[in-house]
Amino acid sequence: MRYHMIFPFLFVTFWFSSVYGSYPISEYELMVVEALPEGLNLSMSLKDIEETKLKSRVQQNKNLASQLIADRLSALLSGESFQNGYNLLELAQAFPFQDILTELIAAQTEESFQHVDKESQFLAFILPKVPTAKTQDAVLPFKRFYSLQKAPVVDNSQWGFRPEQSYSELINERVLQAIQFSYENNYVQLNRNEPFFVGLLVQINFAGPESTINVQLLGGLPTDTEFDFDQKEKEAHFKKIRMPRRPKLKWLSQQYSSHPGVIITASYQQSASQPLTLNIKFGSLGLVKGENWDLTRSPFENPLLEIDGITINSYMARYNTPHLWGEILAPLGIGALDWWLAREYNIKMNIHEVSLDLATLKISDIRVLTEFERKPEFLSWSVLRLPTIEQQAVNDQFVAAANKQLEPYQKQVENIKTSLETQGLVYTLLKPEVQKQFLTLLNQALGTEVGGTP
Amino acid sequence: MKKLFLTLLTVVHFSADAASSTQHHYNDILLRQEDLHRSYRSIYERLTDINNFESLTSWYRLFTKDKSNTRYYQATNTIMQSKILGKSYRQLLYYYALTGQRQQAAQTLGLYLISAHTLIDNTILDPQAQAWNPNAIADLSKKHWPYALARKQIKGIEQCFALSLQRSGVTTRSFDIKRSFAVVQAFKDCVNPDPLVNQLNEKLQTLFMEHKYHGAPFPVSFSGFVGGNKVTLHNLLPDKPRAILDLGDQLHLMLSAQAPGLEKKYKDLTIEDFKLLMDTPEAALTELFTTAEGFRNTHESKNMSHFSDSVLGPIGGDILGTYATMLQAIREAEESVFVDIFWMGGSIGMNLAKELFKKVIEDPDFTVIVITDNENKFQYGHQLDMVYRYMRAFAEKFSNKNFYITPTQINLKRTALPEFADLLITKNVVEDLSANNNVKTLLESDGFHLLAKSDHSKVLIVDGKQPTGGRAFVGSKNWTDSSGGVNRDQVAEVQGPATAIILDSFYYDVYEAFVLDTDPLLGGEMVKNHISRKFGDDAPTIASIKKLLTPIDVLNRTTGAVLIDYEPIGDSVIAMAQNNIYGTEMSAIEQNIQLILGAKHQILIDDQFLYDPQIIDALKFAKEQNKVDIYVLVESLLGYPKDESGSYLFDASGVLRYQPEMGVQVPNNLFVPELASLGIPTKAYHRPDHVVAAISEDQRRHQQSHPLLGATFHLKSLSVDGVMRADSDTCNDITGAIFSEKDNSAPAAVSGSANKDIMTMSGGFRESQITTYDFSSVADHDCLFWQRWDHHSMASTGLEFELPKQADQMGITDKQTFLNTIRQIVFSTYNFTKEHF
Repeated sequence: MRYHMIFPFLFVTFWFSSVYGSYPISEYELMVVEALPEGLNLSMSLKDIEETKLKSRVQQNKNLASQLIADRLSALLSGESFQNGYNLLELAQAFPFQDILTELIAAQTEESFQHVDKESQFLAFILPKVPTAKTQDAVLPFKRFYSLQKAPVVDNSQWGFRPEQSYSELINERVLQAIQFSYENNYVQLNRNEPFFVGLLVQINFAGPESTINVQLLGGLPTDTEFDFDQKEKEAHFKKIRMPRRPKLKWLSQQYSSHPGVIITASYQQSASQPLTLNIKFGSLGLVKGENWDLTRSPFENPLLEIDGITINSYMARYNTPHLWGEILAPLGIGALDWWLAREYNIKMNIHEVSLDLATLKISDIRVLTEFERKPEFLSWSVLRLPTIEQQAVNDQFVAAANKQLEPYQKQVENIKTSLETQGLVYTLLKPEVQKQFLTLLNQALGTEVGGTP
Repeated sequence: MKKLFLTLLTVVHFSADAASSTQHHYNDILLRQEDLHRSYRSIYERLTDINNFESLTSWYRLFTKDKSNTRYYQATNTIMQSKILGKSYRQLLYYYALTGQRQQAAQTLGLYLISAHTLIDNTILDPQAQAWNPNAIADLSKKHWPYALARKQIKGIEQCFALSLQRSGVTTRSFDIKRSFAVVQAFKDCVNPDPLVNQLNEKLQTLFMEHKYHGAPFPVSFSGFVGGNKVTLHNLLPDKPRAILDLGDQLHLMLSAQAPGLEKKYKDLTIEDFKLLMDTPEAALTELFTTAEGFRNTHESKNMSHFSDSVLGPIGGDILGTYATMLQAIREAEESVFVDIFWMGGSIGMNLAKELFKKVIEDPDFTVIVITDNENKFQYGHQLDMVYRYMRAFAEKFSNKNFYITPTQINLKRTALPEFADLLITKNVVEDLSANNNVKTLLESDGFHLLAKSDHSKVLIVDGKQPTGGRAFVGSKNWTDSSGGVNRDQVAEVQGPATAIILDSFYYDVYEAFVLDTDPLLGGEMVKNHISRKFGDDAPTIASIKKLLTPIDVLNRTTGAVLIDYEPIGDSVIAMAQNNIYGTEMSAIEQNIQLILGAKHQILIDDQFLYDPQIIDALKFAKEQNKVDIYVLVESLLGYPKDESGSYLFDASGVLRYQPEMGVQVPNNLFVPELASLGIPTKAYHRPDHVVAAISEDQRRHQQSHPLLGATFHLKSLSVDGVMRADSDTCNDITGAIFSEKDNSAPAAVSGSANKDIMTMSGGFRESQITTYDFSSVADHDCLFWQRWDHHSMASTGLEFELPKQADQMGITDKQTFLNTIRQIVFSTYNFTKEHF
């Protein structure tokens, strides 16, 4: 099977037009998660705790970062362009994030931190903040207007710090509420079926030469949308690219994990053979587990169920992924079942995951799961549901085809590389125009002209 | 037995009609402010300061790693929450008890009860609360303990609580989870049966859970509402072209004149140079900045109305302008003058300095204390530094006089940047940064605090300790030529008991500034000189500083003298709000929000800035839920046309014309489209043509690259339920403006230094403002507002700007999206929380 692929990336090109308008303004928040410094104990006074933290590696890195930032920032502020125009946007563009990150990482030597923690992990989330109107307390309706940091004498709410709740529970709860709120209030405009921004996670782990930086972007996919597509292969005729469906039942549709989502992860590790990689994962919106965001109901791999390179992934699962949809044309080589499959089933090729090396723009892995979908006219309560299968050969074909398509665009990636070199990973990934450029590039590389019914 | 005694005490006390004693109320307020600063400050900081709170949350994260600890916490919390309704108080108390800090645990309980009591007290006295729910407020004031008595009771509860913990074995400084039982026992012994606790609880439940009280669930300020005052509003000054040109000439002279006897200009003189030029105190008046050199000297004239061609003179006839009124008040002062001023400089600052010198020269017992922000000067460093050095030289040299000027200790403030800056950038880092050459150069040229801390107050208080003669001026007026001189401002003058309360709110600002002044690293000589001269070389520093402060020490902290009986002299109620030095009060925002939510008919906002999301949220609520009419008048930030190089463009007749199409600009326009969509009109202040022409003329006359005088719309005001739009034409009636809704609402106006932007409202700047519940001052405010609304403003959609080229690079093609993006970038960082693995 050879697929001339239109990757379902095209949804992402809508992304940035909606990111900046769909969610209510000022309704994002920054949440930072740090490791507790070693050396804390429960008998400590608050002052001792503060001092222990000041000696921690996290704090030492912050100090270093502050110095580097101040040094660079003051040079910029004193510069002519700023003095003439006080142009903050220009300032942000000229800010040398890459230098600062490089210097920070360079400072992560064992010698420099002999007396403090060996590793330090630092997470920064940008999360949708549940709008204050949503946090309204039925008992204290006006409390939402006032800061909760001024020690309310009446405060039995579930908001604010709760010792019994871990940071991941807090984040997951927050995101869940924000998503529900978005749907309830049409901030995610269902009728337009647009993708929407859920959150961003920057994860920095300082561990000497093994230091890593990951940036994860979590988004919700559009639903119930399909695009025309025409690709005839020997085995199947693909006719559509389809986005997943949203459950029609209200109670189900408001469940977080019912929403299809995507996680785009960029990872940077200086010492690795591929220092800069990008991974795109599709599935159901998931939760923070450990130090990462993950999607729920991802396909698992079970070698026990592998027959001739085909893994039976699941008999029951239906995945919230974009897919190529088409009709089965030719025998698949399973004997008497061929005619029956071709008559009663359509084929779906679910795109689960794409990994690529950003430095070379070379795709290293794609996971595609094949699913057989009963044609409507053959649907019945007793219908036989077929397993979803994964075939390494199909994955490899997708990789080969995608890489072939990418070849002509290697040069275009130079722009991104230059940006990375001059402005740093985080900043580059946060820059909408770079994101747009990158995604357009992918769409160009992987797609053809599409019509659509968004 | 103890229970019986407490009950008896309660009965005896209630018969004394607790809430109505006005006189006691004044001293109660002073005591309460002092309690917060002296006894409970460290506990309060643990609850509210981000670094402190961060330590507590870290402790809890470590604590809950053991799930059995969580179960103990939850079980104990169930007991605590029936009596302590504030979650953060419970969490802190529990931590203290488990780690063996029983006194602190008891104090946390005490602070909770004091806060709860203050909240009830404030609500009872809040004119807006009374307008909304008169019956509920009447119920609330029944059997309300006056503070003095509640305070005694609370101290008793604290002692009982600490003792009970001790009896249960909370004696050593170590962690023991079993102490959860001790906490439960202490609640049973001391908290659960207490009549005050139970009554406060009952009232809080009633207040919040039945009557939908619109106020904050914490005391907005510990000074609350103070009755018995007279109020006058000052919002005008001479702005005829000749007064503006005169000011420009004076400023130019200040910046260019040669100092006598030295080959230096005045603006380049050091403190030591000024000392050399002042042989005697009188020489500071007569030999520097002299009339012969061309300087205007108000101190040489007896009558302020002589200065009819100056901004320091009358508006017309005998009616004095804002500056003249304040100078007149200084002249009439009998004992003391206290000034906390953000900017004092230029010819206006110099004249004020001379008036103050004159007071201490003429009266050896007279005291002048000036504290000032000395770090945030922006582009006005020359005119500010010159006057500061002039005054500082006088204060350092003539230590036989009671004249003091010193920079405020702004480093004690929290940052006005997003909170995480305080976590990210520690004090040591700031020190290191300040030593960095790049940073140093930048700070020397433009001057601002790296962590956005400042003393932004503009307050003048004369004779604040006098029982009836004191006057406090609280407003937005800086004492300087640029960003002062012809700016549009508002200053409220208060006479009466509130004066002492306002003065006392600055006691610790002055105390900390004086302590800072003795820091050998900073090379301060003023306080040291005065202590040596007045108390001897070996006098202890701290005790001596407190003695120096006696003239402004309303509570007689050092002498222990009986507190003054302040008498009501009028019927205006004042509510003070401040972001104070310790951050124990950051109430400017809450006062504004409370007023907005409590408005019943109309809100007028006139402010230099309006882009605080919380304030906007409150405005939206007022409009949508309470159906209040709202009018917004703000400064237009980019109203002057500029060429590509950033220079101002004059029209053919040589006038720098305001361009209405420039409208309201970022950041003031961030919320304008949204407000407009709700039917809230926004207008940008439009300077009168003659003012703009005079400013332009001044710029050309002195060949300045940009105008040094701005006529900025510099107010930081707000009024509610005053002169309705429909009644605005009654402003010109001889009988005065009509308040058609006064019977069912509480007309009020805010004057002060706090802008309605997110940095100010975060509490990082030292601010002071007052709300005056007073028909006359509200009418003065509202009538000027309507006049400006009708004649000196331009409507704005918030979208009258060109998209910058960077927007295009970011893929943003429409203005609304651009504004949204800016909002997300700016405000998301303020929505900050910190967590731990």
